[in-house]
Amino acid sequence: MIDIFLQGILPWYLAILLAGWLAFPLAYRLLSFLPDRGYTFARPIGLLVWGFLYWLLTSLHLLQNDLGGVVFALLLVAGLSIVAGGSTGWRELRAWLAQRRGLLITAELLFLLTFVAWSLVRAVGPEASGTEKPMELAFINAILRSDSFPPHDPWLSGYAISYYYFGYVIVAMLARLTGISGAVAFNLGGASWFALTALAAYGLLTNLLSLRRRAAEAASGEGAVPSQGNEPGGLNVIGGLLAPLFLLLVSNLEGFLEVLHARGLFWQPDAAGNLTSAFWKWLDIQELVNPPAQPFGWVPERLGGIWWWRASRVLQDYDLAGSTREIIDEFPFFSFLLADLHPHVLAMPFVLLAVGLALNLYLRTRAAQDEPISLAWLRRYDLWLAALVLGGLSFLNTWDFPIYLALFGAAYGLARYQAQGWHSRLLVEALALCGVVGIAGIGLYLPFYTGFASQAKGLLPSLVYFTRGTHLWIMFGSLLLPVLAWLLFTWRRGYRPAGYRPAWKHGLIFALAVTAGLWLLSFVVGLGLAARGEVLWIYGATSGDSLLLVEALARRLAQPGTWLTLIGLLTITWALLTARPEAETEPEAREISAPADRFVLLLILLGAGLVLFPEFFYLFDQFSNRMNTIFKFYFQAWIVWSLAAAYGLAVLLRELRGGAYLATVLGTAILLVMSLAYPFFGLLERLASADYSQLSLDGAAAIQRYSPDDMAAIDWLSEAPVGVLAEAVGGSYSGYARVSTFSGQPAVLGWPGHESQWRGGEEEKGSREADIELLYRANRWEQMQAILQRYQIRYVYVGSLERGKYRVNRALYNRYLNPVFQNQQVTIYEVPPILLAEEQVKQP
Amino acid sequence: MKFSMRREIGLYGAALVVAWLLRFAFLGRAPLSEAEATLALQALGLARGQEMLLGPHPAYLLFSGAWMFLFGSGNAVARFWPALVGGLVALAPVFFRVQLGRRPALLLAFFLAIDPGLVALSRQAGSQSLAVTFLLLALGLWLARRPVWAGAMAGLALLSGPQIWPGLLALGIALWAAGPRDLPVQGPAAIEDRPIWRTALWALLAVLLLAGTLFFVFPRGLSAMAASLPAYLAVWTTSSGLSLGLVLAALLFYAFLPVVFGLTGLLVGRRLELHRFLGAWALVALALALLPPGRTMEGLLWVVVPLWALTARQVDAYMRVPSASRLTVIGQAVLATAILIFVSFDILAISNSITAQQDYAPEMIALVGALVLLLATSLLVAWGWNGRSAGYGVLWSLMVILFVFTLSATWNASGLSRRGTAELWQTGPQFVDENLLTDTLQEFEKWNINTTYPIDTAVVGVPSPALQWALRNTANVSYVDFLPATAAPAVVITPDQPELALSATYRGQNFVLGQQPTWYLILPHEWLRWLYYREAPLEKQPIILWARIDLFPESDLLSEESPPSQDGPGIE
Repeated sequence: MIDIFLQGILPWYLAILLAGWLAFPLAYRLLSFLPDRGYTFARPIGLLVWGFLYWLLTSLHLLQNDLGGVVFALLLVAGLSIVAGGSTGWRELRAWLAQRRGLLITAELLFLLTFVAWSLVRAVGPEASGTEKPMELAFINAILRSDSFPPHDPWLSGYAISYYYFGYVIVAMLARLTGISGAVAFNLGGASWFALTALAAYGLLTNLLSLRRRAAEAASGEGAVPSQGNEPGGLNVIGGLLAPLFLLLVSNLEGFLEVLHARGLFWQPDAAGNLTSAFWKWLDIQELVNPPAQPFGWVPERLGGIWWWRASRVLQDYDLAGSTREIIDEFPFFSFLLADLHPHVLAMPFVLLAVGLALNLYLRTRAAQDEPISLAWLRRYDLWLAALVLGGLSFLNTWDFPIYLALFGAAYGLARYQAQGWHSRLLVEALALCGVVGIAGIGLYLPFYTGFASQAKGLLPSLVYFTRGTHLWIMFGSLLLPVLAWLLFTWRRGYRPAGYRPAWKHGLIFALAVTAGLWLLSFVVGLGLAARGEVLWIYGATSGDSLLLVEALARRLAQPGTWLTLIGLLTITWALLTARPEAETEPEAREISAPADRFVLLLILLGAGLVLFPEFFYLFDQFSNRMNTIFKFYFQAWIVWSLAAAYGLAVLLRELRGGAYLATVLGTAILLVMSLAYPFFGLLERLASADYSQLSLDGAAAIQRYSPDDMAAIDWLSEAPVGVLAEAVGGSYSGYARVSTFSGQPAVLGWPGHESQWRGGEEEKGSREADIELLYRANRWEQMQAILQRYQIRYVYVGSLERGKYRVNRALYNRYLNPVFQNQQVTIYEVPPILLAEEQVKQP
Repeated sequence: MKFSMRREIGLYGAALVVAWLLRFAFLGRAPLSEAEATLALQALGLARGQEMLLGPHPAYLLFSGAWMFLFGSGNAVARFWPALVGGLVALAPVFFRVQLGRRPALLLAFFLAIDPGLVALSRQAGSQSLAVTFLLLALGLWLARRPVWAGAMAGLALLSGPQIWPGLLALGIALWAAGPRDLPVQGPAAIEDRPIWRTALWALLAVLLLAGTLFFVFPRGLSAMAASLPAYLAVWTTSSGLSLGLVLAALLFYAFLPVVFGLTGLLVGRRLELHRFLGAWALVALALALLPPGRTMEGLLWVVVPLWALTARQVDAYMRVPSASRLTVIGQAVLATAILIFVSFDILAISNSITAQQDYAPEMIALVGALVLLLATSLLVAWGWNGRSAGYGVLWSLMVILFVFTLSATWNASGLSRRGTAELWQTGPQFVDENLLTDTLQEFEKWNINTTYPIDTAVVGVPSPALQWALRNTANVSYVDFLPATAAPAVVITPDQPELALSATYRGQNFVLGQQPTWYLILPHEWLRWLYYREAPLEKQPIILWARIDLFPESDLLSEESPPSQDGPGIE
């Protein structure tokens, strides 16, 4: 236990702390309009700038991919911060820190506690096996083992990683600095990203609540309207904790339904004694349509399966043939419980940083009337930071880039609109800003794009796939209810008394126009596709069915829950967002709703857009359905709506009085019980079944325990010089590719299916799977030598998996190859360079 | 004694010449040790344009790489930069004249020129001497108000490798704890002046950028520079296997003069801020040299520098004898020196007797008699002239004896001594048979009449940088862990093994690859003998060079594999 702290948690914590402290002067200077001056974002900024410099300079071969490179990049961050701190004034910085002890202590405690707590959760089951954990660990280890960047693909020798791998670079960078192995870094990465996300979410809400409080104080004449973040104004230190609660712990309502299901509610026995339920059938959630196991209980369980998995698969898409298509609807707590270190998880703190940057830009644009479009933008360091962060999102989790670039542009446009009202150049200015920041963002990460191949083949209209209203509410109900309550409150208590008039008409027109426009556009595109009969098979059509569009329309109209909800939400949000003060309103009163409310409305609008878009279009990838589009868009919708829900609830709890207050408290309690049922039982299952005598953060713990011979061989390979590795090839999500995963050595082929996904085809993979089989089964040296030479294989791994899958001709190996490592179960052969060199000589 | 500026410059020049002579003489004669070869091979790789990860010694690697690119890859070339820069340390005291005084600074120049440790490490491929010289120059130039040069030297010091960090730490802690408040400085500007800091900082950054990348040819040198910090921190977590006693022994045996007179200077001048600062510097440096589990001898370099400065001050004080007493002091010194020479030889005789297990009572009596004689002469001089002259005479003689002792240590530590000596400053096993092995290979090359191509050599399972360095210019060499049974290269080099299981027949010859003293085997009384003869038990790592039988002129007469010959070159 003490080893976990001293050799894992402590050095990792100190490294992140160091990055944050080094970057704080930078954050203080560039996020100067935020009340917390970017203190809560300093860690993501530090990690991102550090990681960027390390990655870029190593990619340009200016730095080495070693500890020196990592330290040098950190020194550069320190240098930038010294410059920023010098220009700000160290005395001012010290004075600010001295005045904000409450914020500092809360933020530091929040980060420390969440990091340690989630590290301990990970220590209960640290294995990096199952789902896509091996892939993620393989990336981290490959980055650690590569001489330079781009890092080699651990599962396709001779190629660089073709994936958005920036998050893994940052994790590997921390591993390198702290001297922690990739397998331990995998778990510490998950825990620290949990804490970073909690801190950034806390920071965002604290800033928003502080802004609201200041505006209220200004309106009531208690203080001047602050324009700079460092001016006086209360920080809502405790209220900010609602944001990490709603973002990271609050879950969708499927968990609560699991409890009801396990208790046997709404099930009745039929004449034959079989349990039936119209309610569960109507819900149409897989597995929940089946009767629960008896005797009934309060604790969800699923024989032969994982009950908590279903919460990430609430949605059901049906094609024209009536077959279901798997849809992923992950939300943050599920992702952290699953513990995959996937890009959408790794991007979370930086996504929140992007939201913070948008808020800073919104405040800045409101306060200072900058030249709208000019070369002066090039001297705006906050815009450069935005380009770095937003561009980084593309490298972290590609879809996040356009989403938050849009938020950035919208924040700017909104501020200009509020200041000057609508004018024709507003849209041009916002688009110009997006263009400049977007181009700079892409330019900064150009080396990434040069080696990246995507499986995306464009956008497809979602003609027959859509989300049922029931599923939407199960998915987002725990966030939508506080959001709607706050919208109602804002209209009644905020806007009306302040003399604001919501533009209901405009709101309705906007909502209808957007929804109908997308619907119509998808139909037009679908019509074109149907006419050509090109992709109708995707929807399960057996032929060029001319009735396809009619049936699609009928289906959607029969299930109006989602689009009606979204139209309603869009109408209210847009109406409030574009509300203009009535003529007689006092200028001070105008500040009541500004600026925090407006920004939160923008977040709600963005969330609605993210849910609305995949109703009508989705990404055409290898799966040909909405699986990944829903996954990526809904996850981001969860992030922005959770912030809005937390803000709304904090405002309601603070400002409501009397019966309304009590009703809100009661409603919140019920909502939290329902939405926290999932994390409660999820954690209970994980922690109750744990063996606390074997706590570890080592992702290789399982292989160490159950296959120590493999582990010893992997340890040997981890220290051996980098060379192409031959190991058994098998399907995705399996135990194959274990050696390359844990050692970071480049295998000839890892998981074939994933390689196809990453590269958008089979070309690079070629005949590798068959060649590896031939290599192990070969009974003539010439056969074997040809394959060794073709892929320049240095190590051939013969373990139990290889012997089980192939009939390995050991005699041939022993005769020609060098057994450099051997134990009971495993032999690693090294191919003498002389044998490989012959092929090179022969080549013309 | 007053001396003119011109003479002072001339004397500094002489110190520099002495320093360079000691460092450059027969620089390439000794084969590179394993530690030296590790670095030299990296530099050679750079010179040959190979892709590789640079170690944390960018200054040495980049400068030597460029030098090898221009002048080839001789042993002397590999050691050129440490010798050149290491010699420049004799000029550093020029910039401390105001603080130390003109004469002590000049004395310090000579002391640094001949210090055994500095000379030994300046004659080895590595970056320790670079770190010492550049840091001292940076400090001196800063005190002399030359911000550009001070920044430049500081930049070069940062590029010198992990050894700069204990130096910086020791200096920083000493300055913080006991830094002189009113240290006299040259020039009009004050230390706190912002423009000076800024100028020095810009110079430092410029040098880091230019020298650290060798003018942008090897940008990854910056990475290597940053790696020096974690590389230094690693000495606190990993053990080097070097005992504390051995490091202390090295300090005493090689730096007895500065230890004795430095400590004396510290005691005598303890009220002086400068002496307290130098003492603190030496003490912190000693702690940093001894405490880390990964301690190395190189750490002592930072200890001897302040000790030499104290010594210079103290020696200068002892040299200031009134002209009236000078003859008396000289006379007493000559007499005492003669007695002390006798004492030293007598101690050697006692040591020999102990080794031979003979009675050494006569030698002990002679030793006691000599010491009594020294005491008696001193008393007589004190009675006849004055006590001060007698004391100074003995001190002068002690200085002479210890100076000679130091010179002897320098000569041996530098490797200039013809007989191979066991030195504590040796940084790793020495490839003593390097020349024999390369000559043998060249002979096989000459005898090769079967093909027009160079013979192929396979080094199997010998992970030795020194061997790799020795074979750097040999064509067609491969380094492998294993040879398939079907292979039959012309020459195979393996660890010591009785036979070679390959398809051809071979004859073998053994060579000594690594030789180093096994200090832990020395008995206490043998240290005395080592002090005079530099003899210590040696540990040797043999390798065997196997030559395919058809390479020999009489190959048609030999048809079977022969065991390693026992009568060839390099056999012990």
